[in-house]
Amino acid sequence: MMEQGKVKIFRFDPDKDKAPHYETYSFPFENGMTVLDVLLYVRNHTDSTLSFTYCCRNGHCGLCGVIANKVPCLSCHEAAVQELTIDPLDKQTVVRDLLIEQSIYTSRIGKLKLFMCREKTDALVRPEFISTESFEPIKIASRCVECKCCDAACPLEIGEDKFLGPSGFVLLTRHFLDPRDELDRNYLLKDGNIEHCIHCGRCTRVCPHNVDPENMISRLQAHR
Amino acid sequence: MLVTDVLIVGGGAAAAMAAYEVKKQNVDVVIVSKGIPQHSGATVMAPGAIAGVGPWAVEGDSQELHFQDTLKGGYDLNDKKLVEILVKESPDLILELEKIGALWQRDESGENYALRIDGGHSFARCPFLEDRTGREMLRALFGEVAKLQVPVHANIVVLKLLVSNGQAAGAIGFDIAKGSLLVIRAKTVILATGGAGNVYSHTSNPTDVTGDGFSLALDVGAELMDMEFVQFYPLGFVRPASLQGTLGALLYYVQLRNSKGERFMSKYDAERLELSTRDRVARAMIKEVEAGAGGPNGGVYADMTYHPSGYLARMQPGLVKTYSKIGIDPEKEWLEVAPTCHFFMGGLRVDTNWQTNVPGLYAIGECAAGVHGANRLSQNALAEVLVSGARAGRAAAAVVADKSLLPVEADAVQRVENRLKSFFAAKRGISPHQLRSRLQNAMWDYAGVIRSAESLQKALAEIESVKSLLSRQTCGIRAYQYNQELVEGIENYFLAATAEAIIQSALQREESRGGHYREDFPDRDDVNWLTHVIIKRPDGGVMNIAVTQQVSGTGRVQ
Repeated sequence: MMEQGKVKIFRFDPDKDKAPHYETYSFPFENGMTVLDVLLYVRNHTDSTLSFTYCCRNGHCGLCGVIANKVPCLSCHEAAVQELTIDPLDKQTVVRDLLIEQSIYTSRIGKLKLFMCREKTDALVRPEFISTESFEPIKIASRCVECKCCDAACPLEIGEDKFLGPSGFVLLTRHFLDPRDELDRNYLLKDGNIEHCIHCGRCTRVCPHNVDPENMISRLQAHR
Repeated sequence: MLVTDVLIVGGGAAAAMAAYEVKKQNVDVVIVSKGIPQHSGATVMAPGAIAGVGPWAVEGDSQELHFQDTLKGGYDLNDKKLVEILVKESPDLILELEKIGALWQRDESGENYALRIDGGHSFARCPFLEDRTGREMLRALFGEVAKLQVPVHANIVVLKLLVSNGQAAGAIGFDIAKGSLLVIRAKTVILATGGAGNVYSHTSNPTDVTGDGFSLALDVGAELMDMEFVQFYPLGFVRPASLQGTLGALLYYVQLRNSKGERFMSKYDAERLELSTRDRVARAMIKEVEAGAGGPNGGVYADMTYHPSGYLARMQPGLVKTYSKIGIDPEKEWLEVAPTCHFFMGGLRVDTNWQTNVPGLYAIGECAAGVHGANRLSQNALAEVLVSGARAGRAAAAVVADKSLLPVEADAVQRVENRLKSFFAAKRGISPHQLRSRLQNAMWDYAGVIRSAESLQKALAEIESVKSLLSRQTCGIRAYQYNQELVEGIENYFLAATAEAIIQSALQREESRGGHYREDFPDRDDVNWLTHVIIKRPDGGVMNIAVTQQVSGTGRVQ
């Protein structure tokens, strides 16, 4: 039996609207559908101008983050419920509706030197030894898809000269814990105001890939 | 306007590998990508591994065996010279990626790579990282690209390649974020735009893989080869709609059943059952559905209930998480699945530097043809991405010293502008989404897993009709900036050209081999068909189809 669902979606077109507003749409609710299915239904059947992003449909690309019923999530990996409210990710600049401006985040992250710095690698002709203990946390940190759900859940203000945000610290963790890397990135922790973290654990609760950003921040703090 | 020596179009690992290689030669290079690198394209979702026999090889394995496995998987239609290059050069690049920061999973000793084996490989030989090897490649490569300060322009969809005197001269892009055109002048151009999974309604590909490079290159005189060879992975989700076509289960963990509960593979391959070749399994599934023994969503059932409790969660945690999100308990119920378009073996015809027949225009990664023949061996795609990227990057960098920037055709910008304006001209037209669905359904129904002259003619008629509607697409959003409908509409042009090339090639090849199956010619025919079908489209007009005398490339590995 197909039931009716109701979704309230944040709408804002800066070309037309003075202020954001919500529109309510109905959709055929079915067990097993995701929040992305609801958005696609509305766009394909009711209003083709509804703007949101997604790409891989299955949790890898990190582009479809939204806030569904007040919880940041990847819309492709969140089961829909019959009554939904969908907002754009918090702490991001809205371009139109649920679509956010990615370039601000990209330029902030671009300053983190997320590459390996290492002299003399020419002699490496076979795999290097990496212990299981050092491999594990690197592996977990590198599961991050930069969906920014953690940043949206964080109670701190995020930005230049402010808190770097859980996502930025997760990305840094990967390089801090890599035994092969030779660059001192400690100044980036200071610049990112890592001490502002209050360890509330909200980032960890919303991470769709179980990266545990709060734990990563603790590791970095211990590392300094 | 941008001016550079080497322009790379694409945002996956092939693009980044090529950029890294060009920059190593101290040559100017720019990447333009339709999506945001590391958040778009096919590499980021590649769960597999990178095939290569290096110092990590197990006893008995050799590059020669990798070579032979690849030819066998490709039903002898591979370009042997390209395969030789692939198996010889992939191992060094796998190591090189670790030198720039990637990390492949180690075995228990920590001193060697853990290795994966998959269908068609004689030995475990493929390094990986969990189920996200592609992402790890991108992280390392785009990290290095940033370190080398290669400019990366995201949100640029290329609308037209520029040629002058038959040589590559740059491209005209559309900046999705700004809503404006961007002319890029370059001495050489490398296409790394991937395949075209979205030509079908069922695909595992991300939404932005739409055959851009195939179509753009055809327009400037490049040749497509082997376009009839499309790989269908048997086990794609059928619902919910958003997941349709994404990989839903693993062949070695399922028993396939029809709606009567029969384990039907016993009728098609009694010995190997579900572990038969992917193309056989996919065809068997379609046959069962056609015979009326399918599920409500046009698939058959993947039965995983026979496993001990907890086993699936341990062996395929990502998928089990997805099952729970969509309300399926795989230990108690069957999952409906259908074949899904996974990979294009065909693409642009290239030489051993991955250069097309248009001087200065290269094609790498999935948008090139030749390495995989009629079907791709698992884990060879990520190897191809590295090897072709490095080769083309080096070659493109080497020739720029002797080249100068070529003039841009005077009316090129105007023509591109006219096409963009057409999306806003009519008040009422067809929506890009509707047109896309029509194209995808026609291709799935008539030019998919099982084909015949009759079905392909139907597909062709439908694509002709889609083509006639392209210029009548109309956007609901009236702005040029961040207009996803507009991008979808632009991509429809690329998809239509790709669809037509697939159909024409499939009509031409009157035999069955690898990813191409003709119901009216069900057998492999080595007497007549150890050849390639080549497509050209002179001056953007009618597609011109030719068949080669023999399989291209000779090579061997000892």
